[in-house]
Amino acid sequence: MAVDYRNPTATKPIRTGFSIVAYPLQRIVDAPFDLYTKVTGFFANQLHLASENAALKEQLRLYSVQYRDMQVLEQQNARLRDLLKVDKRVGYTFTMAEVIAASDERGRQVVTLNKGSRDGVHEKQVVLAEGGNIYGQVVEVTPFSSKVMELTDRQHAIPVRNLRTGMRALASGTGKADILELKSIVAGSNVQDGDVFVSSGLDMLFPPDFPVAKVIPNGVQYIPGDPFANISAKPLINFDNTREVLLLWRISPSPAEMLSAAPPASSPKPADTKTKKDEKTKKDEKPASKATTTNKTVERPQ
Amino acid sequence: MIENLPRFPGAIWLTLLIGLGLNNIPLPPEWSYWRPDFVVLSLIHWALCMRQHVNLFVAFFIGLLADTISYSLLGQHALGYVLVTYFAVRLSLRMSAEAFLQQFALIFIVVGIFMLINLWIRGVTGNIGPGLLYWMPLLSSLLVWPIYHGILGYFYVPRKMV
Repeated sequence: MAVDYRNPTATKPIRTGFSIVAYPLQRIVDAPFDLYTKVTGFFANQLHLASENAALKEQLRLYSVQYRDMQVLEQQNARLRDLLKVDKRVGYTFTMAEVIAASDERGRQVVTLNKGSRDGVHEKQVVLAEGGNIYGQVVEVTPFSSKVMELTDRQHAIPVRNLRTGMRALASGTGKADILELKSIVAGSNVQDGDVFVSSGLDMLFPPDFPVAKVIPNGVQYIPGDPFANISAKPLINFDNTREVLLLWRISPSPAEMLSAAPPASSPKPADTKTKKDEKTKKDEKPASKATTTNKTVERPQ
Repeated sequence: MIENLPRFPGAIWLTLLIGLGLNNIPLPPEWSYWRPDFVVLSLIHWALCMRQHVNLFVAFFIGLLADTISYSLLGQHALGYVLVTYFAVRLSLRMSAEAFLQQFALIFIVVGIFMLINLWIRGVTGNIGPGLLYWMPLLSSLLVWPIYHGILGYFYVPRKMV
């Protein structure tokens, strides 16, 4: 236990092995729910299906035109970036995955997905939910399944940015499915109820400008004598009801290439024991205790 | 003398896996506070009925499985289950297996120890749960026990030993 707590990488093979053993059990437990959704889907009302189908087709037509437009814009963007000698924009590809089990441990918000390393899932991969909201990151991969830590896990933190003012903060999980805490915000800074926070991308893991959370009414509280404000925000996804999620892959250029191309103005912190690549990684203002979950170099396997 | 034997090979494994499955059925959060640990109940059941067949290694293995499923600290549930088995076997020698009140006392003590250890480990690793609600499974274990005990009764057969 002590080994697992101090040095989680050492016990990783054991975890992976047991996860493979546990996967059939999780599938069996999930089977009734899976069957229920399939059966209700099968017996859905014909009229309802037809109208939904029509609406979806119309949406698809609309999107295909917009996509054509996007492609033109993207080409133009790439050409302009080339002219300006700016490095290329990061693109993404997605795959759908299904949540088959959730952890029952208090304070833990970890779910199991039905996609694993056979489908190209890798550790520290970003997971999105419906509407492009950030869901979490992959923490463990087996050949058939993977475990995803949600944003609301107690050990998870994500650097965010206020959409209205641009102020940066750190959103850490509380272990409850509907509350995120915003840390290191000085009391008296400009945060209001209903402010939306998006990911800032400073950790080089989460893509920038994806919505994360919204400050709840009366969520900003000041305690006299405390230099920091207590801000609670509600994630934009309902973690308890989400069954389908999107796995996200970056396509060229890799973050490492981007970093080497970036101007040296980012002033990396001196780290004596780290490798050269680690030194180049931009470290944000995250406390060291959270470093295990998010604040690491993103290695792209493909 | 009457000794209980498993109804078929692997009956104990099957009940433990069923317990693990019941532990991981998704429930709304307000319900899951009341969910008893069914693996603990299964282990107590076997300690009461067939203490010769209970194996600490099995308990440990199931505990590690539970740990990977719930992504808790590796060994947290394993330690708990091993201690549960040990205490249940020890205490079951001091009471008659048919007396219900005595059974309740045993379950109360054993489940209490299990939850206390889990709470300590969580406290040390900085993962503190929600106040008094944490102790609700202690109550629901007692409520579920007669039914669960009855169902698990299917998995063994009494044999007369010479």
